[in-house]
Amino acid sequence: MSANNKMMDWILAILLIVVIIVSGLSVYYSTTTVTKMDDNYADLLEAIRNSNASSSIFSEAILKALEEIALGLNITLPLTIITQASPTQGEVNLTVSFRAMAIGGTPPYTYEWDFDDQTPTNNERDPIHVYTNASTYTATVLVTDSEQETALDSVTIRVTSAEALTVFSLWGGSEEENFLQALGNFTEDTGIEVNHYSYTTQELLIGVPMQLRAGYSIADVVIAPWPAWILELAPYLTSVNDIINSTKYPANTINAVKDANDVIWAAPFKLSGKPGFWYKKSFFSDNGLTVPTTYDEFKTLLVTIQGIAGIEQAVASGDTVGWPLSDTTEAFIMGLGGYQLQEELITGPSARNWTDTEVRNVFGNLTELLAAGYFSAPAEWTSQITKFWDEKYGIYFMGSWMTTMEQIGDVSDLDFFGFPGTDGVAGSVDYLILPKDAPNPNEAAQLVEWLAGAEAQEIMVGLGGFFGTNIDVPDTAYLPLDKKVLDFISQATIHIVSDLDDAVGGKFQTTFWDQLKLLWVDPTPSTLDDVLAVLEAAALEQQT
Amino acid sequence: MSHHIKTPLFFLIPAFLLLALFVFYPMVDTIYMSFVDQDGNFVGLGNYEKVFGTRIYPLVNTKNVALGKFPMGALVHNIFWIAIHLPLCVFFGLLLAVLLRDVKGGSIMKSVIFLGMVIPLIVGGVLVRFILDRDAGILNGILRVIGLGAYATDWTFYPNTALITVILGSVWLWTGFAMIVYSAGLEGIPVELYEAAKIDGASRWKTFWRITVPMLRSSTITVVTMTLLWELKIFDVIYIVTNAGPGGASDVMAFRMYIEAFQYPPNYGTATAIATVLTIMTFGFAAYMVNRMTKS
Repeated sequence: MSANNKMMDWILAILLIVVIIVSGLSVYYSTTTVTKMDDNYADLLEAIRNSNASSSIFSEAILKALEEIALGLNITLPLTIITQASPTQGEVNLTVSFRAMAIGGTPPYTYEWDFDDQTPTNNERDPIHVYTNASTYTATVLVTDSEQETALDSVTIRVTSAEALTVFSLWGGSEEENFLQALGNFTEDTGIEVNHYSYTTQELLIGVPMQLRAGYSIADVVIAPWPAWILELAPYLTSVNDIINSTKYPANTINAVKDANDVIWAAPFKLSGKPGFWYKKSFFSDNGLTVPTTYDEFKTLLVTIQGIAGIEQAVASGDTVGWPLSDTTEAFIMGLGGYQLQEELITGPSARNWTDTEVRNVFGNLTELLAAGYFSAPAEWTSQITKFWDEKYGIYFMGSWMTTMEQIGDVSDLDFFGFPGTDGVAGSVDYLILPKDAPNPNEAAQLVEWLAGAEAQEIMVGLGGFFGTNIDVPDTAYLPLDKKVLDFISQATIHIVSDLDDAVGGKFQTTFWDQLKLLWVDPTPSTLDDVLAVLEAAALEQQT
Repeated sequence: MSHHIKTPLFFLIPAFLLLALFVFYPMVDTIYMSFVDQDGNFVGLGNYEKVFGTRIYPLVNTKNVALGKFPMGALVHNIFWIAIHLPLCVFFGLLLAVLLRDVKGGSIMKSVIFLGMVIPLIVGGVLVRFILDRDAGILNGILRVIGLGAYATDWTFYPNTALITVILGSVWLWTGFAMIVYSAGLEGIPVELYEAAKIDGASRWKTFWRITVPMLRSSTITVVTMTLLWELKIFDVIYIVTNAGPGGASDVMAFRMYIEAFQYPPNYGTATAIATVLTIMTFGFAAYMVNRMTKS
């Protein structure tokens, strides 16, 4: 064999090796390219999806080019759908242009759009849709190719209300802050802005009915704890039978705002209980005090606290229009007279007179303690919390919201005890009412539905101080001290009774508050007789 | 009718129409409503009997009036306002007008004192409330400074002190008006009278009583009339400071009328009855004072 032949053999061998190497590398790189192309492909699709829809023509061109490249590389792209929408947020009556770009699979494609607002589906590729109500919507498109392969994609459209909702309530301070936090969740979910306004009891009690009777309402939603007042306003309200599922709430919370025709005029929101006297654990332990289990022990406790250096009075008395005094008084009514006595007084003179011996005995006991100076003069109730925490007072009768008050320095040092021997606790439900003349009735109904639901109530109870009325709120949502209050009022031996003045309402309520203020500062037998006589007359007038 | 009468009458027609629509008609309707119940049935003096005889905040609590303890009834409380507030405003108004007459910086002082008239009564009420507060109030602060801290208390919480302290606390709100009217009146007294008195050897006190006071008669009538009308319809200060409490101890007729009319459920019969009583009292006083004014 000649030298030339040997050289040719070497050249051919080298060429063969090169071809093998090149082929192998080609396979490797093409595979890598496809893999990277898968990642890059997904990223590219995502980028197209998130791009401004005004560049949809460009996006479509890119997708077209990708299809060509895939065809060239003999790669079968999976059926994918990319949606774009413009605009994706705006005020009600928002006109949105949707665009669906399908790639891969086997054309032709069919499309089915669901706009998430209970309107019929649309089979156009690029539909235009108008959203007429404020909310956050997830518009979804389903694409089907000729092989019946399907792909799904969605886009979020946020429709805000042209006007924000207006909500009135009695809440201020930390209560209001907590409520605003919960409202923030509602706005985020629905796009509906909400403005909250805090009112005094007098302003709400008198101002709102005046507006409603004039055929006008500034508020879209009013939150109030007075079922009797709500029922009196029924002709000016929208019923909530179609908005809430009444089986989700304790029967007595619904019955309190339901009329004889089973029309429900308010939705229960949160429940506050008036469990008993709050005290500082450290104050009690430092002074060797123990929680009383009987009324005599309670009186002894007052005497002991009163004698402690630095204490002004054993019991703090709160004041605004008078409800803190009425809460304390109702604790005495139920503690010394039983929960049924409270219920009878709520029913009115047909069931129980205010001048009856049993009622007078209860008030006589209270007057005795007032006359002995164990209770402070009524002062603004939140400033009294500050003084209570500064150990100017030993105990303070207040509702379950005590745990949320910013004046409480350390909640872990706070505890309570029920009125010794009581079989009843006053509970007050904050109700949501919808004025008929609300400026934004549809959005207002959405807000009521949300607030009455478990999600909103779970947020509120998680912020502390209150209990949910919706039975789907889990026990685990409660903070430890609130759970303790809930356990206390949920005992079989404790009956949750309506707040007396809230339940009776009307002019009786303000008369009750005012007369208790008088009794507090002038606790004499003759004043007591006068007070009970006035309350009896007021209850009789209310009933007639 | 002559042309000289017809033309002015013609121009008065719009004013009469407005008066008829916004004053006379509501007045007549108010008086009518005071004689009917919620259903529009005629009840005679039933609403008046109710507002005077009710056990719940009657206009006159005869039992407590006899005992001399508060609450005595809204009408009696209004009389207290007149009896205490009026003489104090007249006295301090005249005193300040005389003292600040020819004093350097007197006009500035008068402007400061007049601020009480300028600020809304609701704001004035808030200020009064703070003045009387147990812990933050300057009244109790002054008592503590002068060694009478044992008397520092919640003045508006007790039935026997609530009304009196609100009345005293609001004297400064109206004194500015009296002072300004008297200041203007003083400027109108001829200087020759004082010169003649000086020549005759009259003392300052005699000059004041024999010249200044008689010459300020019309100013006094103006001050008394306007102050009286203000006291009869006082509402804002009571609403803010005490809300008519405790137990109605600082109740006044305008507040009672407001509660009856606007607190749910409204009772327009009793509200208009109170309004009618208040109107009769106001008209009576005003007519007497205007008569005195025209005679003087």
